[in-house]
Amino acid sequence: MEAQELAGRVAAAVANRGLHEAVARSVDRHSYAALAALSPELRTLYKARARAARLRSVRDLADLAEQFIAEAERHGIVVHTAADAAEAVAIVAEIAKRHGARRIVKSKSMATEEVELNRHLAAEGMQVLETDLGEYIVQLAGQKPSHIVAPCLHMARDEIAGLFSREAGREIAKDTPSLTAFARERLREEFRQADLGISGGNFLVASEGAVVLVTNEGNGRMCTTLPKVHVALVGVEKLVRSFQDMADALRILPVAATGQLITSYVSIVRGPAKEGEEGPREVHVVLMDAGRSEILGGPYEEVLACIRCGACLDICPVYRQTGGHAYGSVYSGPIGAVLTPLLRPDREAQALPFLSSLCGACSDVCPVGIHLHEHLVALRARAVARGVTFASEHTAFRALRRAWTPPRRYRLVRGLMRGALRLGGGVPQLRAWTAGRRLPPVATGRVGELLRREGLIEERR
Amino acid sequence: MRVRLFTTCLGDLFAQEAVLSTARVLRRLGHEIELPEQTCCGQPAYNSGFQEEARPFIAAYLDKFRGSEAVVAPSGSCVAMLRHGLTQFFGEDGEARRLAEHTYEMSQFLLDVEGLKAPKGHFDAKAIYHESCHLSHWLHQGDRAKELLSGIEGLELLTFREPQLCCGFGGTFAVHFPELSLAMADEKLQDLGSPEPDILVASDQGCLMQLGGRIAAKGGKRPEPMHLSVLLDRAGVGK
Ligand code: SF4
Repeated sequence: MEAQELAGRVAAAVANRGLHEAVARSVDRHSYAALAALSPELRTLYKARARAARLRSVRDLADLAEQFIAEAERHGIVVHTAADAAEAVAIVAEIAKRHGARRIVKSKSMATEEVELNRHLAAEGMQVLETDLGEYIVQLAGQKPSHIVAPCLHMARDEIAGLFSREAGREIAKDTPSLTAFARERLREEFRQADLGISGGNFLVASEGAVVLVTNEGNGRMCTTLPKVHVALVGVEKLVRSFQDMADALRILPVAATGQLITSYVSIVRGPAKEGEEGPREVHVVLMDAGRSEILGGPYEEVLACIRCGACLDICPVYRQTGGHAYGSVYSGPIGAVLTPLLRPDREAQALPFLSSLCGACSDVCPVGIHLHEHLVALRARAVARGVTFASEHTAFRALRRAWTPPRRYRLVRGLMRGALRLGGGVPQLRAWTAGRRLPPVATGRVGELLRREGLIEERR
Repeated sequence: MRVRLFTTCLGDLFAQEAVLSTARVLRRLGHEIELPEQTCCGQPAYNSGFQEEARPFIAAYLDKFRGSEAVVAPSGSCVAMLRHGLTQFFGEDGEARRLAEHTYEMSQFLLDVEGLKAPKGHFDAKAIYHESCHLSHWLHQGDRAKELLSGIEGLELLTFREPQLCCGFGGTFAVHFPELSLAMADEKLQDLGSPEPDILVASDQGCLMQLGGRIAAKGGKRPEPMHLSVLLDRAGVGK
């Protein structure tokens, strides 16, 4: 059921060829830039270091959380812990209410997407404005991000110019300078007026109690410094041991994401402003679990090492055809198909691992070496065990096993199959295949016979 | 060397030429070839989430191929499955691990075990080489198989602009998401250039069936899908 629904969404996305063109153009730009940015030797070295640093941190997550809380509190950061999405939302809403916040500016954060923070805050009568350019565009369009790094990558430039023109009440040209000029002007004003800033976090440095934001537009820094209160909502897996471990991961993050050797802004938040300093009077960090701790210690633990660079989406031959929305989840692409069923217990999420041709390009490109395709295969088995599968496959594969093992039976059945296939066969799987592809001619005899006739094989005694 | 042949189910049903060519080339290189009783590698079930249904396939392989000096299959995909399945299901059996390490895809065997470098041969054609994903990303061979074609006279070897882009086969994936699978094939085929090459070479029958089947369904004549072994055979490698 769930699998069929997914297949329906995918078919609809594939039918939209304009979507494919927009997505393919952007992901190719990312992938080529990423490939060109480093020599193979440096890439190997950086990847190994990033992986080691991330795995170390994931392994010690419980200790790092304690250390982070102690250090952050020492600098005056108020640390909250949220077991699930509902708690995370409640904590942020409570802080906002206590400060009578009406206008909120936000920098890009997948964790806040995960808990649908904007929707909840809007329901409390607060106005939340996304300030990352891509997120701002997606918000104007009333959509959700379709890529973890480039939220509006699925949109054509014309569409964006149209949205901006409507928002401005005048014609905005579709060249990049005009678009960014409009957004900048519009957002500057909001930054000044906002009474609360919300961010995510790319790293939480345990030894320093620091939240680290990596951005290209500087909007993150505005969100965390201009409003008098800053709240960072961060998944607990973002913890790293030290600045050194952070640096090991940070070195490869922008390369993998967009092919930049260094990102434009790395902001380190270490607490509220002191007397006489400018900056927020209060800084809160919400450490969110929401399913992470269940992944810890199990076969999928390395998935927590993900640094959300988006490289696996960019290289994915499926993602480039469908874009992100077809996945029906906050995280899309290979990492989305792996992470979503681990974070979300619902049956719909369990179907996502099937949305992959298992080419394995993702595992090779991942800067922290997550074995994505192997997890996809394993999660398919888990889905089947939970009853999420494509129609009648249970019966089909049981029948196949019975018919094709042991080998002697396979030989007989294969002979029969050749006959059936030649007749065109009523196998439904075959019909799906022949709908757009011609089947090669079916062999008439046994391959063993042919090998023998040519004298190619030694008979075994 | 005594080489055992794993023919693969697609090789049995659709691509016997690839199996025969694999045997001929190995034979010409001086190997003795054996054909133990066998069945499929179990990948259709395994990759669809039916691991327990796949286990008997791997068990049969371990049983019938136990002790092999080397096993060669004309498919990177099946080899990746066999290697993975052997260690996952029977890793505690020392022979499973050893057999996994001695199971090779054809080009892998020729390059790594045989140590062939740019073997001589002759075949007049404009060919384009498709890197099958399971060979390149699962077995980590990249596009090394092209080395085997570089010494063939008369062969003009082209590459896709996006050599690593998947053809969209993916086993049951092609059946679960038919439109998507076809769209992936079409994008791959757009990259053929024009005029189209004469042959499309790959070392996995799945990719060849996907791309060849798509070309034929659209009424195209070229390129003709050709297994790497068939090309090596026709070029007279080892003669
Ligand atoms: S899984 Fe790897 S490639 Fe994908 S987003 Fe995470 S770190 Fe990047």
